Amino acid sequence: MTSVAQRSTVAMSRPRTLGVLARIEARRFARHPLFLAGVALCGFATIYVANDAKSDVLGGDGFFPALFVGVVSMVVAYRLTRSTRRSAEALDAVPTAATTRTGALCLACLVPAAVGMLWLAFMLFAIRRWPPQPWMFGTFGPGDRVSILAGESVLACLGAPLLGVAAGRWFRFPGGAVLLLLGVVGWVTAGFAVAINTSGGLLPTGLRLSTPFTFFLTTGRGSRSLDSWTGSPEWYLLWLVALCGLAAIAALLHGATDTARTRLLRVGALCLAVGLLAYALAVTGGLSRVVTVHPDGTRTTAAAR
Amino acid sequence: MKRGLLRGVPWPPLLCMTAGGGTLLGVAAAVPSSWLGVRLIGVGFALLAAAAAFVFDEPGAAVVDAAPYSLKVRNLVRASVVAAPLAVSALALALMRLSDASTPFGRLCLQAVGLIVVSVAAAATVRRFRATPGELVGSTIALVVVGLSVADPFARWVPLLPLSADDHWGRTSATWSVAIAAGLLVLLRASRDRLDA
Repeated sequence: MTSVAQRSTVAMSRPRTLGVLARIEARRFARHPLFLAGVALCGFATIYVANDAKSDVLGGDGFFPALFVGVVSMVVAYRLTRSTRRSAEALDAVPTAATTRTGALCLACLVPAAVGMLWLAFMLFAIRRWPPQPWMFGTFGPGDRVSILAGESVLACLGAPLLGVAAGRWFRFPGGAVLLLLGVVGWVTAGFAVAINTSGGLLPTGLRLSTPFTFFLTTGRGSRSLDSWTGSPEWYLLWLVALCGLAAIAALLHGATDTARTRLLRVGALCLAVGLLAYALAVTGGLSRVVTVHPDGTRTTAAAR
Repeated sequence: MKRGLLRGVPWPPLLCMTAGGGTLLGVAAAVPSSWLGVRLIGVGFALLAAAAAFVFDEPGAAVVDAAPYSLKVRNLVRASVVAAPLAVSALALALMRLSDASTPFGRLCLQAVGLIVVSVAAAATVRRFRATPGELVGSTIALVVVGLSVADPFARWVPLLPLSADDHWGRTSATWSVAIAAGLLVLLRASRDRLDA
């Protein structure tokens, strides 16, 4: 009787502890000055660019939540995770597992994701309320548009801080936040730099879509046309979901006990398999060549650049 | 004395970031005026500015702060380390100028110096409250530089990080000159001993 009662108390208290810790971490996240500055900049940049009729709706605009909320949140998450390092000895003595504390930090990453969702809702509303000319969506249909915008906003705002938590748990050297930030920016830049000098092909598309953020629509040469990029936006979205899952699992693996570690590794393997499948389909699906769309609706397929 | 004061400098992150920034600027020099080259200059500047933020890190602050050296002397000695990122940025930009004559060498140097001075001034200010300001200031500065180099929301009024020769540079150069002067003043103020303040 006693053991049954104890087991049920433990089972009840675990999610409750996680919930309480997650609320505390979410509040810390939402009040962090860097995060607030990022959200303000994102709002300012979005409204400022929304007034600019020349902007490409799915390209340049999507950069703001990814950069000002996503990348900033990555640094915030890293710093919040590292902030408990000094009191690690005291924390290790409390009856809360390390994975629960990490789980709470991962749940707090829903705060920037919620900002990304708000941004996505605003963009979808703006597109419906003030519809841009059809050529401004390039070759992409309604489903593609939502996938592109969701990947640029919600998943970038969720995945980047999850990566920040994972790095905060595993990195052991000073300057880790800078390395993480510039590493991710460098990865995205390098992926796009390879693609920008080609007109398509599996390898450049594969390199571009391996990154956690990419453009599917960019302003063409002379800024009076738009380039629709290769790959499938829907499958790329699933690849991003898998990357988010892998980042969370990498964070949770730090300090996990044997049973939890085995379970996490299994979920991680499944996540990786789904991710790789989605990645392969993203690279092989969609456009195989860059297509330039002009204001009069004419389309030209790029020859080798 | 100087050697003793420099012993606490976190050399690994400082030198690694300086080397990383220099390498990126070197690669940018190899692909001048290209999409990648322009982006690499931004990331390279971010790394050099972040490296400069680590010069005031002092893990043994409890002991060092009690030592009979004025804060001004300590900061002056520590600030001399900034010569490393400054020299690397000047060298890389000179290389860039050699490979592409249209590179605005003087203006890019002004930007690099401005970023490094602002970074050092911020680190010196935060050092008054925290023993190791490098991580906080470095990541914040890197965030700001990367953000400005890829999507500057103030570009309509003052483009803070124009990286190519055909941008409007007048206001930008004036802004960075003011930033350098303000940074030096902040650095001097942050180096005053608490009892003198």
